[in-house]
Amino acid sequence: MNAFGWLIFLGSNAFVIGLTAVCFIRVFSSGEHMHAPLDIDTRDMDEPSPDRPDEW
Amino acid sequence: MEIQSIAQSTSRMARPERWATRIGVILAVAGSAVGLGNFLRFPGVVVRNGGGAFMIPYFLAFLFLGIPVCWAEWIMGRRAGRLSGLSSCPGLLGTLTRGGKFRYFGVLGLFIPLVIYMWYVYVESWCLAYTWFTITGQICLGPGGDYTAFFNQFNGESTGPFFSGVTVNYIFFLITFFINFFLIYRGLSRGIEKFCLVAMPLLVIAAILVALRVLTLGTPDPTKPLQNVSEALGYMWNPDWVKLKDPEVWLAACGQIFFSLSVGFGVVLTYASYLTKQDDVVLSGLTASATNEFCEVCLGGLIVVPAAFVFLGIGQMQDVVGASSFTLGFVTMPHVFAQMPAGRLFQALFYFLLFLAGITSSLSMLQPAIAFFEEGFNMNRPISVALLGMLTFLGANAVVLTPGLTVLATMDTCASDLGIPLLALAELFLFIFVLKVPTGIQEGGYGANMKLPFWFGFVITYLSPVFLLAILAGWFVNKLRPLFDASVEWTPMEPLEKYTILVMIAFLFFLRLLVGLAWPNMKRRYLGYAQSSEG
Repeated sequence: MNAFGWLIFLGSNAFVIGLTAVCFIRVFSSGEHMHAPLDIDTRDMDEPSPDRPDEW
Repeated sequence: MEIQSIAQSTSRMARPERWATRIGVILAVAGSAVGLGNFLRFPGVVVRNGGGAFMIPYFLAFLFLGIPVCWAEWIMGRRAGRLSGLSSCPGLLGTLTRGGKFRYFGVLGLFIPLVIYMWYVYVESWCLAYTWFTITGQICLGPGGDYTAFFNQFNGESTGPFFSGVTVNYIFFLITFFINFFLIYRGLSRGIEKFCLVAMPLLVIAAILVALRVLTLGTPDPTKPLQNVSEALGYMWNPDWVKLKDPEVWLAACGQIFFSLSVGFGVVLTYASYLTKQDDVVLSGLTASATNEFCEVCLGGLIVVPAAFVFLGIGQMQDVVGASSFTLGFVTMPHVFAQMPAGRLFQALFYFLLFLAGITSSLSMLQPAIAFFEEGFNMNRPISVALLGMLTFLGANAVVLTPGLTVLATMDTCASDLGIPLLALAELFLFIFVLKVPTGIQEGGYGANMKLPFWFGFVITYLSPVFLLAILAGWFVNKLRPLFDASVEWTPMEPLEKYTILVMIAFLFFLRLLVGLAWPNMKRRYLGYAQSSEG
């Protein structure tokens, strides 16, 4: 394998392994049902409303 | 009045299923994406499209097509699921658009996984059978063995000393079919999730062991010093930069990412619909996609092509990388393992990991239809499983009992090559023009462990649709090439191919009819669910 081959082989594997590792570390460190720092629910997106069945 | 009466029965309509753990849903989605293609298709695509140079368009497609569309599916699925209590693709796409007018897009979300399941479960049964044949020694024919005859006789294309009919093949098919339906019968959390929690780590361990065996082969035959692991890796990874000027290479990269991540399959929509507003979708979606990439690049890229190169030499590699995934997996690989030290052990591990990869994918193909029967026709789990079992058993039998692989290939073309990009385009259309991108980004932020990147809105609005349209256009150009390229001749369709296409069209209309019949019930469920949520 030439130098470029090694570079791409190692770079690709490092990128994918790094991404997967970072993702799993964050998943396991955040626990279940973690919220974002700012999570304001204005409920303005909860549509269609059931009291307007004519929308159907 | 109608609403009040519906609200009174909300306990019956409350969502019955949820994921038990976050890692469970991540592994279930990753399991859906990790399949035979990661180990058998990916290495060949890399070699044919410029080796290491291919990884540049491949990773660009991953970042700008795979991940954004994947996030869009997770976001739409959770939003529609939490607002409606529905989980099937027609129900989700219908409720996402208020009036339900786009529910018929969801027909594709039933058609694609069901049609793919009908042939996929058959190929999965080959993996189980080959694991068994390896353990019992039935397939250990030595380096000069006729593995082509073994495979052809096993799948009924011919008869001979190995198999005189499809009985053995059919028994393995029945076992695999039963395992799938047993797990799906146990439900989302006790069946799919529990199985994926065990199967995915097992799959990765098995793949790591096989990859380590390949990487430590050195130079197995000292009389052929060029057939070593370093040269084998070079054969796959040395870049051919000129290939980057070829648009087909870029198209191949988009196609590989797209099909590998199971984007546009309808499965992620269904799986995400079982999440609550407090559950993260951004990090979970990225983790599932990254897991798929790990299996594809880091494991899939280290097994088939390097092993074949070391034992077969560069002279035979042209045939190896040009062969179909089935030939590569079930003819070439037994030949390679026969020459490998401790090859029998690693062959058993290899087919077992393919079987696990297959079953985690096929399970995901059944869940959207199960959800559809349950919420569209008020069926309970045993009845919906029985009905789906009969339906898919009929389709799968057409694949199993027809000699050759024409039916299988035609079904795959209809569902994968054409259906998946179409459904993905429909989903993107809904995300951009109906849900609206800012609303989608806001929805993605609920419960998120990481923020969507700043470029997500731009990419999902402009780049992803262009990538998808290019994949579809590329497919049509390839099919219609004889019209404008005199050097390419029309390949006349076989009668079996025509019949299969007709049956596929009829099946699509049948599902459309079912969606029409199921919609009033879905609507009632939705209204009842929304009313109970308000209360």
